[in-house]
Amino acid sequence: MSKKLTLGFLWLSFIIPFGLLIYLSFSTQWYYPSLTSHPFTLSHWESFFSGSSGLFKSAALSVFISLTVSFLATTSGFFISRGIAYHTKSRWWLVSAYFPYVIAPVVLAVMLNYYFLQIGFSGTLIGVMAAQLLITLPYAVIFFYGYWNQNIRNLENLVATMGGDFMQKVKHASLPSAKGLLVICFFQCYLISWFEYGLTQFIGIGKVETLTIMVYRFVTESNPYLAALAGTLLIVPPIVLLFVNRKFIFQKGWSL
Amino acid sequence: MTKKLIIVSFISLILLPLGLSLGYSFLYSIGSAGLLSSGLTLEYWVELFRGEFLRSILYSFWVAMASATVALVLALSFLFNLRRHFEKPGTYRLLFLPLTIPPIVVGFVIYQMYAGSGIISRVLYHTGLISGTQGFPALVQDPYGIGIILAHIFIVFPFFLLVLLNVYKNENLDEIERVALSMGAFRKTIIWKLHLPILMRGIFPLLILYIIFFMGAYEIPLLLGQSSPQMISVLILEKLQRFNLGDIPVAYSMAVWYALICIGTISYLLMKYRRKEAL
Repeated sequence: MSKKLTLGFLWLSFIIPFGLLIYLSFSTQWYYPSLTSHPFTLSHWESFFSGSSGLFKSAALSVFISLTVSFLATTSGFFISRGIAYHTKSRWWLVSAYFPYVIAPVVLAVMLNYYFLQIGFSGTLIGVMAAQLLITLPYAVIFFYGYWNQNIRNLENLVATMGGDFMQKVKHASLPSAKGLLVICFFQCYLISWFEYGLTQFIGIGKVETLTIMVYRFVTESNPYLAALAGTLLIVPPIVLLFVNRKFIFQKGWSL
Repeated sequence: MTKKLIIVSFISLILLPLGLSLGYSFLYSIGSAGLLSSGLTLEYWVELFRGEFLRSILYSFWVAMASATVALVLALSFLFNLRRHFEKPGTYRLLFLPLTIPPIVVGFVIYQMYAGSGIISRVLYHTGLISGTQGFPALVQDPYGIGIILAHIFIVFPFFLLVLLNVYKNENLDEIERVALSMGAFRKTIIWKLHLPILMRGIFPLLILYIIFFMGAYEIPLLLGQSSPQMISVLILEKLQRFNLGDIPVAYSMAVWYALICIGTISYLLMKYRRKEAL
């Protein structure tokens, strides 16, 4: 009985945040000590769909940034990891790929900011995407490193023996067996970019208004209703990905 | 040619930006770069070991240790007591839910729940246990970082449990337990002498990594932390963005030291645990 109760409590503690976000996104004038006796409204969602709250634009911008960043990181990471796995012997090449990934993104942004200012990337969309690539690309390299094992090499060698060049090796040997991993890496990079706040805020200086930026802005403006709405929008893609394939959300171990 | 191109891409896209940023921050921190550059000095580094910065480092360390320890103890308790329940796909899938919420949203939700005017306080008010917000204990923006710790636990507890469940399965601990029981071992002995050492060896690198991640956490402390002391990342940003230009080199020193600690720790872990699946 107590075990079921504990599980019930766990279930509740995981579900409540989702319920709270949705509840607040339909609420207004939720003053203390009201729990349910305050007015409910559709106006926040209407303002989202009509574009007047700026959230629709933010959501579209976030999707664009995350899709672009994850596409670039996945494709570059795939080929770079191949090179590192095939052409380097020292383990330090791989270890060094972890460095940008383990430093807090906002601290990385602080240290990078000087160069972003110099090249005019600060406060721009391209600057934010470039900064996010500095985290997602090493992640993709680490992710794919373990993929390049002897079996894949043998397949590539087979294509080469039959006269295939680099592109044919990729097309006929590497890519077909990496399809599943490419999709998982793409969505994991998507989530890294989608969840990012500190680096986006610092490099984008608040001008690149992604959904995470909007959540914080609404919180500081004491508007928990729109913050909750932005939060709800933020959890939609990860939830969808979780139901499609939980590997998009959680990976057992890092590729080493 | 392809080999060189790949290596050059790796260096220019991954290592060069990090090297340049570390280099500039290092030079700034020793007074050799930046607007207020006054020549080589170690005074900004000395500043790290006193006052506000030292308090921030200790506070960040406390929050990170407390978050990781509580999450680990909780995950181990669930593993030992409720493992069978997580074999059901529905319950197992439940553990993935918190991983779908961005940290900034977790911070917002924890605030809405545990603040003086939050849901729990309202529920207690309606049950007659408190008479207003002043009767509710400070659980967010509090001196001990309880709100931050709660948010970190919410994020990392399911992750630790998922990893432990995997280690438990991969290491075949059920079978080991069966053999030990047939040899007359007590259940307590099995947990302390067999299960825990194997599980801890599996999760130790991740635990260290998460302590580092938590020390550098930004979004959650920004929403749930108090104004003093602050977590390292929040303090670094505040020092960079506020009016006292004299604080900028100290902020860069903090950033450099924090980055070096991260790099040193990950290098050590990767070299030591090169064959372990948990990393």
